[in-house]
Amino acid sequence: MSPADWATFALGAIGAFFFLGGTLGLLRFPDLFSRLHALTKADNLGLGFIVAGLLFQTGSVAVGLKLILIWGLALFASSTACYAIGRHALTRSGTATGEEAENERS
Amino acid sequence: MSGADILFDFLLAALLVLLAWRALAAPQLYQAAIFFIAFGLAMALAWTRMNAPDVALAEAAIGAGLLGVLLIDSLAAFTRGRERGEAGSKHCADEGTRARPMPRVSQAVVAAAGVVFAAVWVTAILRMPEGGGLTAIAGAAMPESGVAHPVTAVLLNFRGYDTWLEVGVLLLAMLGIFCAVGKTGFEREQRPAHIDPLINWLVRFLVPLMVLVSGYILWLGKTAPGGAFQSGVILGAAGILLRIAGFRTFGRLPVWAWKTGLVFGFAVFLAVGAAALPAGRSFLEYPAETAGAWILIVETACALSIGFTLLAFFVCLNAAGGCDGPRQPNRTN
Repeated sequence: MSPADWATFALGAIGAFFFLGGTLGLLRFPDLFSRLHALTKADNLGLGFIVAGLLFQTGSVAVGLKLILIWGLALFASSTACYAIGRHALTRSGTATGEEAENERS
Repeated sequence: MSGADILFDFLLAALLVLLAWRALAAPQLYQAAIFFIAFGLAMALAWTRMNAPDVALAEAAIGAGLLGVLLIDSLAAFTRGRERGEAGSKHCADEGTRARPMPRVSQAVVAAAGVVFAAVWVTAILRMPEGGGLTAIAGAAMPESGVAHPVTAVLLNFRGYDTWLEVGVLLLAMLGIFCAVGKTGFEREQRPAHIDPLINWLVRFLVPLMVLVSGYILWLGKTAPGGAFQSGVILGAAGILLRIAGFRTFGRLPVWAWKTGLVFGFAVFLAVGAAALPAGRSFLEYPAETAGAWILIVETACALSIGFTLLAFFVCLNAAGGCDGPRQPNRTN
């Protein structure tokens, strides 16, 4: 294996570790917010390390830029989705603001 | 294939069966919908493994993405109807989000259908023609097709009929929804008082990018996996994202514009196909030297219409499913 392959292997393993941690957190953490916390680490760091590892295997700059763009889009979407889920949970959980919103609506 | 490839394929196949089973057996319909989305994504991966990236793209976009949104949205509509329990939403309130066990008779019918399907499938595989059937003939005719990607050549040129009628099926489905729930969804669209700033920012960034990707996929269809359907679905998804975030979509357009948008692909396909008749060619037969240009015209029209139609599915069903007047997509503030 060439040094580039070793770099891919190492970075991919680190990425897989973060995915494993995120999945464990999703399954084992007690409430929604700590689960979200675990999950976003998998999305951001896990995918980030895997993309970084794959960069060593690309022959062209264009493919590399596309990979980075994919990571960027996933970051963007996952952080917004995390925010949306968290906000929905807050308004639904019977906290003061949530109750008010529900009452206003009906 | 190396050992790792075979291991991966076995794991993937096992995962597909597991996800399909969980989607069917989940006690809550919401869980079933989530498992169905996961199944669609795993299926897309399976298509990629079988060297069919065109199908994988369509499966991920339609099977996992669009159907997932429609399923979850319908469930949310049931829940809303139930919470309110108003007189007008009686039939909604009766429906639960809990999956009911299937009656014995239905189980027997499903099991029998499964056995018959498995038998037909095994027979079909055993009788598979040597050398891939029509692959060689299609490959030999590639230079006349006007495009460099075999899948696009088959879909838009050699088997143009199929694709034209598929666009027709989408249009029929849309008409069916119009008949069932009316087009109130379009008229009810209104701008909510407040759109969440973060969501607003995401949509303003993502939607233009999605339109760009849609155009790119359309153009790519000439030489690589891509084309009208995938491009149209991405366009539709951009619209659905706008709608979910609370922006108006069809409500902004004059009636003639969205009506034209819905039939545009089918009509252009038909017109291009019929234009071949006076020139002495058969229906949907393009002249070989300009075939590429005709295909691009037809694909562009179809992609627009597919995007329009899929968005219209969502807007109509979203408004109709609520059973309680116009839906306010933004729950807070």
